[in-house]
Amino acid sequence: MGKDKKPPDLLPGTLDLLILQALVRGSMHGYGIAERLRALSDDVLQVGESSLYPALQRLLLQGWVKAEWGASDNNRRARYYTLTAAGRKRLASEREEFDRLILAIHKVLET
Amino acid sequence: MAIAVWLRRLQHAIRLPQVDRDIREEMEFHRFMKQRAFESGGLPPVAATRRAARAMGNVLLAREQARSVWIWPWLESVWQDMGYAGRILRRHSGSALLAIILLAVTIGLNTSLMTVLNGLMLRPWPGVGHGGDVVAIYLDDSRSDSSGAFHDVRGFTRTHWRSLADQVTQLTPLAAFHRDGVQLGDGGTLGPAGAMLVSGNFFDTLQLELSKGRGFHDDDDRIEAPQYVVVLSDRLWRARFAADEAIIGHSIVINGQRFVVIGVTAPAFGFSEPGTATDVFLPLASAQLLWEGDRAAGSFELVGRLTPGATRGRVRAELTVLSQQFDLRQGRTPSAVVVTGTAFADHPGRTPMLFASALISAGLLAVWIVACANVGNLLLAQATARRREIGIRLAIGASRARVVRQLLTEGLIIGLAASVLGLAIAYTLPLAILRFIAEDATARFPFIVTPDWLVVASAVLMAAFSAMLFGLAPALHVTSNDLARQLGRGDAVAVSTVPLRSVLLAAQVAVSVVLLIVAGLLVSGAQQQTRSLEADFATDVSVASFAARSGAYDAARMRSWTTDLTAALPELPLSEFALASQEPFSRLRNGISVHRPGGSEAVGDRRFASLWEISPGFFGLLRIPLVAGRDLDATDADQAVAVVNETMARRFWPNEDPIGKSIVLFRSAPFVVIGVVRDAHLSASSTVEPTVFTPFAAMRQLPEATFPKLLFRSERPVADAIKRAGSRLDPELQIRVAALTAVVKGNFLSGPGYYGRILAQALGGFALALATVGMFGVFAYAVRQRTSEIGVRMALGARGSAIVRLILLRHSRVVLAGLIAGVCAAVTVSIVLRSSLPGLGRFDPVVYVGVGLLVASAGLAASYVPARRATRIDPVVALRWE
Repeated sequence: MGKDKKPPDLLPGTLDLLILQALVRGSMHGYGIAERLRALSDDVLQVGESSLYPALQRLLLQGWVKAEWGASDNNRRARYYTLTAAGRKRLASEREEFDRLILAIHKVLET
Repeated sequence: MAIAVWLRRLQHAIRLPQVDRDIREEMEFHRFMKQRAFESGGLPPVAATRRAARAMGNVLLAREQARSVWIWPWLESVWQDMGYAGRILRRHSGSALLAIILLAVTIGLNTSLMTVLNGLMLRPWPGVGHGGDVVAIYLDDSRSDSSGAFHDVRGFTRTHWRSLADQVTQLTPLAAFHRDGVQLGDGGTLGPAGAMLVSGNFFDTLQLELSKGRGFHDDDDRIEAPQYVVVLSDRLWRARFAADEAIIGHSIVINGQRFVVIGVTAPAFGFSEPGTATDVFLPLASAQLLWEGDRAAGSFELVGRLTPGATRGRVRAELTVLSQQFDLRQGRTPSAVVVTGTAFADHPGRTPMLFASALISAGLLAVWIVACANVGNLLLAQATARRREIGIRLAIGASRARVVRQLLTEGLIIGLAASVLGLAIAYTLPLAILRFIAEDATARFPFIVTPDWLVVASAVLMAAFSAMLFGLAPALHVTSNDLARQLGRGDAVAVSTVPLRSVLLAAQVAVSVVLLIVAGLLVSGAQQQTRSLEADFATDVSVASFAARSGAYDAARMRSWTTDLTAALPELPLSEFALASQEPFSRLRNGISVHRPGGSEAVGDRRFASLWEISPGFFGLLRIPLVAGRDLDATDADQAVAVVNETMARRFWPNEDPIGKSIVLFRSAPFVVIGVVRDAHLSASSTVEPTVFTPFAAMRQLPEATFPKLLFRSERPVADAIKRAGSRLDPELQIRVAALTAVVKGNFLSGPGYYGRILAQALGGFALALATVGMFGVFAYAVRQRTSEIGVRMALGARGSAIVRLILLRHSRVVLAGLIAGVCAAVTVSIVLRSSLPGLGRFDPVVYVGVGLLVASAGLAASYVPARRATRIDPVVALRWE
C-alpha cells in the first residue's frame, strides 16, 4: 500500500471517499479531480500526485470507477474517470461510516 | 466481488505495458495542466515548467505506486515463494537433486513412450495431404482352427480392385499398390531395394507433393502400354544419387531394365511399417516389365480418400456389399472388407501391440507414482525437520494456506526442473533406443520421434501433478499440527512413526512388487512359449558379407570368385561353414514363384516360396534336421535338385511323398526334390514360409550377380583370417564379419515380445531400486528421529542386537504390508492381463516367491544399515540429540 505522506491531515481512506465524491457530478480527469478537491476545500486539501494516482488505480481495481480516454478542453488526450454503480454504493456506505466517525470524534472532543 | 477484482487484476497484469503507458500519459497531462495554470498565473514558461515539475513531486515513485496496485500482492508473493523455495532447495541441495533426478527419469520414460506412440504407432502416413482421411482397405482373412484364431488380412486381385474402384461412391479414387523387392543397378552397384508398384491414381489420391518432377498419371499405368518410368524416394535419391539435382530424365536399371526417373518424393513422405523400406515407385502396369507373369496379381493393397461426410463404417458397409457381389459373380466365398487408417497401430492384427503399449504405459505410470511417493517421503522427512521453522511462521501470522502454498511451490520447482530434464530425455532416448535396436532404422523409415506440443504439455502436466502428489500431503501434514507442539520439543519422541510416511512406503513396495511379478510372469511365459521356437535352428554362427566396387563383378566373375572362395575356405580355421544366398533373418526376401511342371500358371495353382541358394553343410551348420530324403552334397553342385521344408511339402504335396517330385522355379527347368528338412524360422516373419533350397550354382539365372554370404562357426576369432583370405582373392573387396545375433538384433520386428520383456524387467528393476532407495531414506530418517530413545535404551543396558531387532521388527511391518498388498494386486492384474496377453505365464510360484524374497531382502537391507548405525552411537551423544 502506498504511504500517503503528502496531505498529513487526511485520515486514512478519506482520499478514496473524496475522489468518489468529486466524481458524483460527472466524469473528470485526474488533474480536474485534484483541482476540484483543492477548490472545494478552499485550498486546504492539496492532494499530491503521489497519492492521487495510486488511489485512482485502487478504485479502478475495486471496480468503483472506470476510466476512458477522451479529449480535454484544450484538445489534449486525457483520461476521464467515471463513477460506476458499485462506486455510488460504496460512496454512500463510506459517507455513512465517515459521518459516524466524525460524529464520534466531535463527541470526544467536546466533552 | 473478489473474483471480479481478481479478473481485473489478471487482465491488467497481462497488459501491464499498456497500464504503464496510461499512467505515464495521464500524469504527464496532469503536469502539463499544472504548468498551464502557473503560466496563466503570470509566470514565464521556463519558471512555470520548473514549478510544475516541483509540484508534481517524485513522479517515478508515484507511477511505481500506481502500477504496483495491480501487480503487487499476488505476483510479488509468488516471486517471494519462488525465491524462498530456491534458497531452501539450495540448502538441501542433495535431496533436491535426488528428487529431481528421480522425477526426471520417470517423467522422461513416460514422455519417451508417448513420443514413440505419437510419432510411430498412431500417426498416419506422414507427408500425405489430410492423412486422417486416407483409409487402407483389405480383405479379412481371419480364420480359426484347432490351434487358435488368426487375425490376418489379404490383398485384392486386379479385377477385384477395378470392380470396386468403378463402383464405390464414398471414396475418391481407389488406388492400389503392391510391395515387392527389386534389384537396383547393374554390375557391382547391384543391390536389393524396396519397390512399391502403384496404380496411376496413387499420387493423386494421397495428394502427394513431389520435391522434383511429377508423380504417375493414369497414362503411366496402362496395362496394354507399360511405361519404363520410376519415381525415386527422397532417401534413395540422397543416398544413392547424392541428391543429384539433374536426376529427372536420367535412367536407372531395375531388374535389368532401364527406367526413366520422372520424379522424387518429398522428404516428409513415408509409410508406417518400420520393417520395410520403399526406395522406388513404379507403375503397377510395369510389373510385366520387371517379372515374368503377373506377379503382383493377388496382393493389391488399396488406399482411398474418404469423400466429405463419409465415415470408415459407411465405407466398409458399401465396400463389403460391392465386394460380396463381385465374389459371388466370380463364384467364390465372399470375405468381409476391413477399412482402417494408415497408422501403424491401425493395421489389422495390431491390437495386441497397442495393448502391450498400454501395458508398458501403465507400468511407467506406476513407476512414476513410486517416484512421486519417494520424493514425497523425502520432502516429508525434510518438512518434518522444518517443523520448527514452519511453526514460527504460523505463529507470527502466516495463514496455513500461505505455508502450504510455499511448500507446494518448492514441489513445483522440483517438478518443473524434472520435467525439463525429462523432456530432454524424451528428445534423445527414443532415437538412441531405435539406433540400438537397428542401426539404420532411422534411415530406412521416417520416424518422427521428436516430442510435439502434446508431449511437452503432458510433461508439464506430469510435473504439476507430481508436485501435487508428493507435495500436498506432506505440506498439509506438517501444517496441521497445533502450534504449541510445533514450537515445543515434544516431537522428538512422539512423531517417530508417521503413518502417512508408512502408507507411502507400503504403496511403493506394493507397486514395485506388482511390476516385478508381471515382469517375472512375462519372462516365464515367454520362456514356456518360445522354448520350441528358440531351438528352431542354431544361431551361434557368424556371417561374413562381401561387397565390391560398383561394376567390378559380372555374373561370370562372380561365379569364378565363388568357386575360388569355396576352394580357399577349408584352409581357414573354421569348424563348420556354408555359403548361402542370404543370412537367416535377412531383410532381403528372395521370393520366387513355384509351380508344377506343365501346371497352368493360373493364380490358383501357383505359389510363392522363398528361395535359398546354399552350399552343402548349410543344414548341419544351422542344426536343421533332415526329415526325409537326403541332404545336398558336393556332387549336387550345378544339378537341378532341391530340398524343401515341411511347410512347402505340406502345401504342395499334401498327403504325398515329395521326394522325387519335380517343381519349376520361375520358368526354370524342373528341379527334383531330394529331401525335406524340418521347418525353421529362417525369415523374420512369425510364420514359417514355404522354402526351397537349391545348390548354389544351379539357380544363378538372375541377370544380376550378388555376393553370397559365408556362414560359419569357429572356436577362435577368425575375422582377420577371413578378411585376409578374401583380399587374396580380390584386394578391393570389402568384407564385414558379424555374429548372426547382431544381424538378428538388426531386425527388430523379429520379436516384439523380446523388447517388451526386457522393458518389463527393466521397469520392475527400476521400481525396486526406487523403492529400496525410498525405504532406505525413510528408515534412516525414522531411526535418526529415535536416536535419543535409542540412547536411553542403550544407557539402560540394551544390547545392540536387541535394538536392531526392535527396529527391524517395526520396519518389517511396513514392508510386509506393502508386500501383501502388492501380491494381491499382482494376482488381480495378472488375471486381468492373461485374457488379453497370451504371453503371460500361468500362476508361477517361482516368480511370486522369488519376487517376495527379493523385495523382503531389499527392505531388510534398507532397514538393517541404519539400525546398525544407530547402535554405534555413543549414548551420551544420543541423549543430547535434539
